[in-house]
Amino acid sequence: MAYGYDAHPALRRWLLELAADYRVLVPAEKGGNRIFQEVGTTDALVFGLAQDRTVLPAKKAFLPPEEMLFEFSAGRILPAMPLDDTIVFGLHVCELSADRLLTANMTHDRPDFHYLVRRNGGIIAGVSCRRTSGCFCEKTGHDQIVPGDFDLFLDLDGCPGWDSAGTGEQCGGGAKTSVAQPRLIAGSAAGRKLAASAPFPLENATGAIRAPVAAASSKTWPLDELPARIRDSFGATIWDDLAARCLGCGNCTIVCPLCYCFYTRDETGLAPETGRRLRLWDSCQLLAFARVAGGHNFRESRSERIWYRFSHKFMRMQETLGHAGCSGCGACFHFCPANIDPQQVIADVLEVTDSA
Amino acid sequence: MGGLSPASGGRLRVGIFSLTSDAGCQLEFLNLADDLLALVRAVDIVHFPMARTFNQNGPFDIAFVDGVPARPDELALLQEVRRSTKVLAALGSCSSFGGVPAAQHFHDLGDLKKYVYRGMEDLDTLEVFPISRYVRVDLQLRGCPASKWEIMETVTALIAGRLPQLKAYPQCVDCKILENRCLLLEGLPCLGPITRAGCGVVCPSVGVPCDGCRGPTEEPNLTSAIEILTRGTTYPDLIRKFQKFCSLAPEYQEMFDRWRGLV
Repeated sequence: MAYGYDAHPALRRWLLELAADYRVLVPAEKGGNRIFQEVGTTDALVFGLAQDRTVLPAKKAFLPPEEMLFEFSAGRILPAMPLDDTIVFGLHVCELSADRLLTANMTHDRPDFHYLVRRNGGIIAGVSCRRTSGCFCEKTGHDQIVPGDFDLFLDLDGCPGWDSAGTGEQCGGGAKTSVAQPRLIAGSAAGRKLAASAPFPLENATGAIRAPVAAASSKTWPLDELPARIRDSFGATIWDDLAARCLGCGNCTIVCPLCYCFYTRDETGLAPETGRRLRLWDSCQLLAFARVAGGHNFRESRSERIWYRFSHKFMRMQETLGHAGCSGCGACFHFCPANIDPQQVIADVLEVTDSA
Repeated sequence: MGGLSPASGGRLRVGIFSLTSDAGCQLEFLNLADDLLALVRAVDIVHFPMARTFNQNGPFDIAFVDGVPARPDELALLQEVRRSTKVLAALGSCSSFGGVPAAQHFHDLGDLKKYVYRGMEDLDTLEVFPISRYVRVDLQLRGCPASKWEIMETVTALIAGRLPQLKAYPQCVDCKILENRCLLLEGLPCLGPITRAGCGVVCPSVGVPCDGCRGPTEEPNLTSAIEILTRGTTYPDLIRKFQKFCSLAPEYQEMFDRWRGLV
């Protein structure tokens, strides 16, 4: 289960050292949840690097749920400058892959200044995963990363004792297989520099790092075909069936590492010549998302909104960026009160559009 | 600035009124703490019985009305306030949806008078309804109590001449962003997915399931919600939960009708 923050004293010391110069986020326990939290903000961070998903993805470090874009006062506009000194530690392969795609998405067409300042100044460090229930990265093509997709990667493979309650030894005393102890793999110059003070042997990345194969790995998805299949499925009854179950709560998009839609709101002060503009996460699953001035709504029904979510991920992002906008992490399924499983949705899409 | 222009020059004249309720919404103005000092400098709160000894009559630029008219004199007051006010805001779930007093609709009024007001059977009481039944309501600030954030958003918006941006989406969005434990996934009957955000997710943030005091989201999927929620509670208890704060919300009526058909 949870791996004690103190169980690896050298790792703890290293992260605390880094926290003196950077904002360092690690997945740590809070109120029964795993949450990316800042090292140094709580005394007893308990984190499990190798398993369990966080509530919000690491994306929140670069695209915060709420951020000020500018404030204004008496005709003067003061732009908000995003911070650019964040290290996020502990991303799994699927999330590193999602980060690459999200960054590509925020760069193409109209570059997103606030996101890119944070992301380009940030450092991301991955960690081996042990698979989480309901995840399926091998189906969406987000099961491997190459140097450049990450700055550092803490490789725990061959070190199975890491997951259990630590003993203070580097490998937790578990049975060792091919790799005797954790090692750091550098995927960038910034990562290499950071690792100089790390308590692990350092190697340079030589090739792709792959997520472990799912125990019950089933068929892969025809990602190239999915755009046409999703398009053809518009109006199919599978979307109405989903709409009957869906509560429209928005959880699925809020926890998604590849959702990025936002809205802005202007707030004014009690002195009306002062105020600020905020950008906040939005969700295409909410009724007001596609409502425009005058009251028209481009997606009035829940079934259209659910189709839209899948079409954005498997049709639009696949067509514009060459990758599915779904990392396969399974967070949307895990946090869905109505148990809507994207694996089942895609299976249904494939079935209803199978004209052969 | 194209703000609401004050009726009498100078600052906007604001009135805060309580009809039948526990007056908790009025109290929220005092709970604004530091913001309260800034607020009373920015607007002129001329009517506020909980905080002022001497209260003025209209005209008002903004009136916040909490509670429901449960006596004829309260109804007369409500109508008088409407006549002398530019923007009238229902403050809280009583004035918006009947609130807790509207629980009377699930009982016989004669019985209630007999059991609750023993010896006062001649009490001159009205059936309670949201204030929109009697007067035009320009804004609805939901919740039990209304949220401080929405009070400030409303006042600052009206000063600047923009529409207040009150949240219409479900609690879950704000709750997930806070990275709270999901009580619904733990099997508790949390009304978050079908209840409007805006309170700051007060209850689920301390481990208490949402009681739905802010009323339904737009077009809530109640059929699916009931199926999911009854995994953590019984159907009668769930209906009672919906009846607690916002029983006169139009979105709930079909559900209550079906329930009446069953019992």
